[in-house]
Amino acid sequence: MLNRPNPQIPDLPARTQALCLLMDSQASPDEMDAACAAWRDDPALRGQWHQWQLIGDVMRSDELAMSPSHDEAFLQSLRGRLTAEPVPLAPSALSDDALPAGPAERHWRTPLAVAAGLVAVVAVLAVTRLSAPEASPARGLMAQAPAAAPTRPATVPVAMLRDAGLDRYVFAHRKLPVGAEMPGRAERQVQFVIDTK
Amino acid sequence: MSPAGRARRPWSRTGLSLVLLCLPLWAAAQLAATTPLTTPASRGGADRNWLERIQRAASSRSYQGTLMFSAAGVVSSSKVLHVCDGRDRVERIEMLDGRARLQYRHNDQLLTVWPGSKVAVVEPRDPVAEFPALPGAPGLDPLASYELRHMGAGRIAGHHAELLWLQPRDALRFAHRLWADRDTGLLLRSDVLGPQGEVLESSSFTDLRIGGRLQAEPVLAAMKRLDGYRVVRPLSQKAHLDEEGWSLAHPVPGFQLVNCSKRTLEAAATDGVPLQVLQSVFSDGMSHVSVFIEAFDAQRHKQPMRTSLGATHTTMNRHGDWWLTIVGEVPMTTVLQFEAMLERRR
Repeated sequence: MLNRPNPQIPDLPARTQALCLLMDSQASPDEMDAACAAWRDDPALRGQWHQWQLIGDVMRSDELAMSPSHDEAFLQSLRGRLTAEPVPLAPSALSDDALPAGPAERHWRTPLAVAAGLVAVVAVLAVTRLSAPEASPARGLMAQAPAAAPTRPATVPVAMLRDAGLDRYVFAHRKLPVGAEMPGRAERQVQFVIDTK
Repeated sequence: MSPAGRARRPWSRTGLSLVLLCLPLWAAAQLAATTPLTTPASRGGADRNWLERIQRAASSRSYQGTLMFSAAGVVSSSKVLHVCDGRDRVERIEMLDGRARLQYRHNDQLLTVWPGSKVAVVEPRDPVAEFPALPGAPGLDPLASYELRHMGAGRIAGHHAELLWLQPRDALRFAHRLWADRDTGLLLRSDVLGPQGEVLESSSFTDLRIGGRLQAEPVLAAMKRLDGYRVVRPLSQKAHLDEEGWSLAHPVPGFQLVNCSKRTLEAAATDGVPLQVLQSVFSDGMSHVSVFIEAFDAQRHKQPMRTSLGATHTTMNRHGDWWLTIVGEVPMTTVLQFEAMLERRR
């Protein structure tokens, strides 16, 4: 029920309390619907929601608390610097030597170009075969992947997420203390799984 | 010359040039077809010895340098000092990015110090080694799961290196590319590669001095200077997966159980409650997978999910009254296979 008082914050208005319950994952389906409707209609409530999310973000990581304008300023500065960079290869007018050859020269240049192209293609193939490049073995074996993975749960599209709760498992796995800075602190590609059993 | 003659001559030249060019190419193609793919490698035992040299060098050499770790486009670096004087092995690692953190290691004891918050964590050393050692365990042969190839020479952090390629024998693991110091065998760089040959994560020395007069005493003295620090000793107790009522219905090929413990996962920022979990570590000699088992808690365990970051893949899912979290530097296929094979026996 929307009017159910939040025992932790008894003085809040009912609409704010409903939002509070929603954020704490304690809202019933009816309360959730009511809170979402109130959020849609009331700009002040949307502001409140944003503020609470921001507090949560700050508690999770200092980086999340950074102003969005910080990234924008960085990008603007980067664009400015790139624009100011000197151009190493500027287009220039063709000299007479570089103009297309006359009809007599074209006759033998064309087959020679075809032959040179063939040489390049076959030479690349031969060298690739001889030197067994680094990437190819992995690709070859991965293609034989056995269909061993269980397919019980279905997944919904990928999202990006930072999850401090998950971090502690990754840190324990990689033998790092919680709070350490490691690439695992970056956003992960996340698939939420819907159990279809 | 008639116009018709002029028109024919280029075609005769074309045919001649094609024949002349194709002859050596045909010969090259024949040679390529009869040459085995393993030409630059496959020196058998000689290559296998490189893995033993790498492990020996990681535990017996003294070195000092800067280590860089990158995954999914994010980079962190640390200063490393490692001193071996025959009996004792002492190490100091200082993280150069983010919050200040120092990690000291004296034989089997690990001390992590946070100067900012004045917290020190004391715990036993983990049996699964870290770079520049290979993450294997005694009795594990990586070559049962990987084919080792010697791919030539290179240069890393100013040292001449030999490049080794560990090609997985199945799709349950990633390929590894190792550069080992030619003179000492110390691992200079290690890459984990995806199925398309892309680098998923990389650990590398950016500068390194091997040997020289490195002193262990300053490190040992610093480990004793903990005045004003809150010293935390996380609980960790050796356990057995089967005695805890769990087993793998079928082993995941190539992976062996190398450690199992009941331990506390320190509190994360979002909820202040330390977690009690059973952690089992499986290794194939080059990669390892952690299986965390804990009682299901509807408040915290809301949504099953899978994540990937660099080479690290994770799945979290409910299993009856339990919540499973599986983390490993292996493809998602492998992580899911661990999840499927894990069964509760009582």
